Amino acid sequence: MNPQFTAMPEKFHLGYPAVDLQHEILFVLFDELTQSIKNIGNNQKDDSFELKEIYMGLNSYVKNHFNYEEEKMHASKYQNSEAHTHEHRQLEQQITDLSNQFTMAADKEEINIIAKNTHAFLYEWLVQHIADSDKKLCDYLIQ
Amino acid sequence: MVSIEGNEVIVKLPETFGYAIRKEFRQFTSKNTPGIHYTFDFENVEKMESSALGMLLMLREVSGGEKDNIVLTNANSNIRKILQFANFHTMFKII
Repeated sequence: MNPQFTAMPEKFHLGYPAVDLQHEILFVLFDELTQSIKNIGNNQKDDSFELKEIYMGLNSYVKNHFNYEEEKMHASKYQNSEAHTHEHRQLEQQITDLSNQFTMAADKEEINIIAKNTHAFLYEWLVQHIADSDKKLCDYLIQ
Repeated sequence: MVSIEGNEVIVKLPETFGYAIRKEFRQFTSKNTPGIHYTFDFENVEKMESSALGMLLMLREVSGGEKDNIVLTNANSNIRKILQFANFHTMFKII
């Protein structure tokens, strides 16, 4: 992996460059979210992206990344395609739900709670989905 | 680095496109209004950090999410490969 790509810990690299880079971008968005939550906590305003922008980026890129993987699964006749795709739809729905909660949040305190929930969910997902489902897929694609 | 002609914002990127130019990037994109088209000229870019990909992605969404709204141009073969791996050719107009 390119040395200037440092958001994703080395242990999550799967050896399939496009998937690794797309995961790296998801970790970049995760880092943006981390920074934005810190700023809310400290009442700071800097050049960070706003939560609204991060949610929009996440929604869009998660779908794009899943489409990429699903095209690869289809093209390679991957045997676990159905279960993996089902997992994608569930994750997409969770991101959409959290984005909707954020949009409808009544005040700063609620925004902070939803952002923290999103942060926890995103990390859990990145760790589990990459280490398990995506690892199996990439091992298969690399064969 | 930035020139504005009507609704067109043209950004000549430096040799390294990444965190170091984040502040400047935010200055001209945070006042984003609908109808603005961006062109990012990669002619001088030799290195691109993943934070730059995140910046482009979020700009794309807040400026309407249309593929043709942001043009990435003059990238060398290494940068093009990165954009291709990131699947950005489905989200941005790359010429």
